[in-house]
Amino acid sequence: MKPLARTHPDEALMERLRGGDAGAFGELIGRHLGAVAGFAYRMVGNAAEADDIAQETFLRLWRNRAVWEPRAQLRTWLFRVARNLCVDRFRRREVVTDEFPELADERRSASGEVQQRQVERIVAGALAALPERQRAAIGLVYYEGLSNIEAADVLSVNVEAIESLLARARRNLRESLRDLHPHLGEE
Amino acid sequence: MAARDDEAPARVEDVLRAYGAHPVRWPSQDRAAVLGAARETLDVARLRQGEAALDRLLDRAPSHVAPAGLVARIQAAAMHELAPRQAPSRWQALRAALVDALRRPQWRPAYALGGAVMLGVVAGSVWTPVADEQVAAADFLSVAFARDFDSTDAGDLE
Repeated sequence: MKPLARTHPDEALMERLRGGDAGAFGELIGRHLGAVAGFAYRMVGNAAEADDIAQETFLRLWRNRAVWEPRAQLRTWLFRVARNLCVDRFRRREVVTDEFPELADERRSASGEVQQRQVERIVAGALAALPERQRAAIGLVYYEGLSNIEAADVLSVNVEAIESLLARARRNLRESLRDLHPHLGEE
Repeated sequence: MAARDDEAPARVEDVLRAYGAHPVRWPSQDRAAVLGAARETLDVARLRQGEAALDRLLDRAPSHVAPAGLVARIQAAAMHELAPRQAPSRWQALRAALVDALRRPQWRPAYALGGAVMLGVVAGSVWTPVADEQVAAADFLSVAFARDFDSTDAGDLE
């Protein structure tokens, strides 16, 4: 058995990347691109913007390959960079969230038999309406499957703060989506 | 033991409210306690059902799959950064230096003067003033004697 097999695949790939191995870079992109682009999409609500953010995230990894700190966990580092890029774009108002609908309008038209597409858009709108930190917490833990410790690392907070963000996010979502399901508001 | 029973439901509720109904998202150290409480306590089971309903809605949010070409695009951009930048030719360097020099603010008064001269040249070529002195004299006589004079009359006066 090769010694590298005992280490995390990312660590071995990062070691190769530090040496300038473009193939390792490609493998790392393949391993994490889906999650990073998916997370960026949850944050900005626009597929093209999400792809740009994912691209810039990996280019920063490429640029920093020589000074990479082996103790850092690659996955949380990538999410942290992607989240910071999303926040930068919010601050510069570069993000066009035209793919998210107006929640109130959709909710009005969703009475009676709710179409699948409408439900998807309503849920997307409810997520988009969350405060940025709550949306990031839900995106990381619920959708991308990070542990509370990993998500806390990404958002530079402690685990209690992550749980608070998650609970508040779900409470807001429950409130926004109550019309779609009668049991969501049950306490 | 009774105190522990009292504390457990509060933590169980916190876990369900924060992470939802699926055990895979619960913190590993809480998993057994929450599952046990959900089996044994009706309120916890009901709470979990409510969170499961929210989970089902959240699962219907649209997702984004990165396009197939994005990996190649990122790799190409990275390789582009690696490529050494081509040195400009002598002509390109000279032209760049000239453009840079002419963009300096010290040249602005010269540009303004040049613009004014050009405007004067254009205006002078388009507009020619009445230079015929005889026509001007005829106008003067017409006013002075209250009858019409033409330029030949004005010429006779000289």
